[in-house]
Amino acid sequence: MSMIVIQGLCKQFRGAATGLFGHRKPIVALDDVSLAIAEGESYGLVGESGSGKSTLARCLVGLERPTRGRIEIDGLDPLADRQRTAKRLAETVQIVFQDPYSSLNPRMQVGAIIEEPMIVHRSRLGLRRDARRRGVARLLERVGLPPSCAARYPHQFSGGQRQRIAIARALAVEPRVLLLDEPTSALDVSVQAQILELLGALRRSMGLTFLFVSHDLGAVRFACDRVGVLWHGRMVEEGVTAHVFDAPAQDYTKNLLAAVPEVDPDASIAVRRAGA
Amino acid sequence: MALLQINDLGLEFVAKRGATQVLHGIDLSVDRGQIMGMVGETGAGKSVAAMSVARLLPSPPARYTSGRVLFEGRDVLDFAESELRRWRGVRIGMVFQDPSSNFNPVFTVRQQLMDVALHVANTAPERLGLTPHAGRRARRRAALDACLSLLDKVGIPDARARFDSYPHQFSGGMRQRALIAMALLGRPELLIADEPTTALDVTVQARVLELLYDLVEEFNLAMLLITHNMGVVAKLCTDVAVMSDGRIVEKGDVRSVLRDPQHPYTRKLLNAIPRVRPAAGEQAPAAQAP
Repeated sequence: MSMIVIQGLCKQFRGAATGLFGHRKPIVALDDVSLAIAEGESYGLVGESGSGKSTLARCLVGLERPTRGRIEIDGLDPLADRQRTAKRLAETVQIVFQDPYSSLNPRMQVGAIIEEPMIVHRSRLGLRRDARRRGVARLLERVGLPPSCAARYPHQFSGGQRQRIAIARALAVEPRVLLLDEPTSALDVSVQAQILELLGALRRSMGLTFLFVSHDLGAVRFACDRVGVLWHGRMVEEGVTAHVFDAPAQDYTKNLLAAVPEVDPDASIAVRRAGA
Repeated sequence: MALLQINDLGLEFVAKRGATQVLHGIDLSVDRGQIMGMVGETGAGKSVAAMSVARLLPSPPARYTSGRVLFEGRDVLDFAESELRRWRGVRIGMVFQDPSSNFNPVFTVRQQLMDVALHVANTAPERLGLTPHAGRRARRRAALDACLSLLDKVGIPDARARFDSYPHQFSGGMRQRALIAMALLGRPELLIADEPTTALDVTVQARVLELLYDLVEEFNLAMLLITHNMGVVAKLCTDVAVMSDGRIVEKGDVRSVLRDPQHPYTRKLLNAIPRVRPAAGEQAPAAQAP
């Protein structure tokens, strides 16, 4: 059963005018992209800047209206009736953003940050105040933070801890899908590793579906079952992560993988030049 | 004696509530032809160490508590402000992380490169092949030639035509190339690059790393490369110093440090990196929670 289905998704932006009377050439951000993500699967979307991966993610949660194409998330069509589906969509998909420094309100206590989505969605969750407080403590524990954190402010936490808070907030409405937009890019490697481990554990225990958008191919290899490679708005290659990374079929994917500096002194520029 | 020799460098930041020691006795030397990678995580002190080599930290709050920074045997920490101006940008070049914030958006690339080139022509004319008595027109000419030949050298196609562009008309990779050209205008002996490829896409990063390698060879540079990316170190550097909490915990040539790390912190750092093509039997970010 597919949790997310995207069919023939196209998105064009109005480009800059060329000259005084020049017509605006549209910028093609997404060009006929299709993909399906099964329930419980972790799907990685990789590509360089301008490849369209963020546009796709934004279309998926209704932040951007595609020019053409069909989207279905857990049977919901976010494009059909925005008014009616917006809230149900938010209950299904939650987002963890790249920068935990700007995605948490510095004036709110951590407890209030995590509780807020439960208040917004109280009609479905039906949680009273004391139940919400217990929920906050449980969520904090789930992401590896002591419940006493609830009374503190975001600036009192490190980058990795803040990302844990952002994850706890995303889980507050019991979503089925997490959209992870470069969730580890702003973090140090050892902290990255911890966050990737945490996300993997949460996915297994809660049966979540992940759409993991990243330019960090190492993180995607670790965290994703399948991967799609975007280039200039087109899906150039898709498949099981290990297969795509070990035996890429397309030239672009090969170049992309070859460009990643591996921690291997034999792969250094000096060695290659000496051998050439 | 190496071109750059840092001996027992200690540094603290002084605030109202007391001083915080940020560097604890750093020892490091870099010679021509050497590319020294300084790696570490946020707050390890790698940028602060590099900035103190260039004397770029305002004092106060920065205060050197011990040690010396010897450049060709002379202590940079003793330089007067006037001497620093003749030294920075001339004998040492600097490249920083974000190419978009290192150019002033309201001036063209020509104006900004020529500023630096003219500074070199006026303070160190011999570096552009001028005699000390060269006139204004000759200096301008030499400065312009230096800009164009370096832009060409860093791989900006059709440099003369693009010279009058504004920085935003360049792509990220081109801006970083232009910034590297700017850092080399004074024909420096030492190049300090602080996360020079971190803001770039991987394919662009790969090309900029190749460029840096070529430039070190061609100009026989000593290079200090600050990065958090062990892959970049493996690709480009000859030597590496691993920093943690204001100390160098391990240093040596890249091959032996990466192959056989001695310090537990280095091992932890290396183990935490998710590999794109993992070797058999390894595939897990394995950093313990602190």
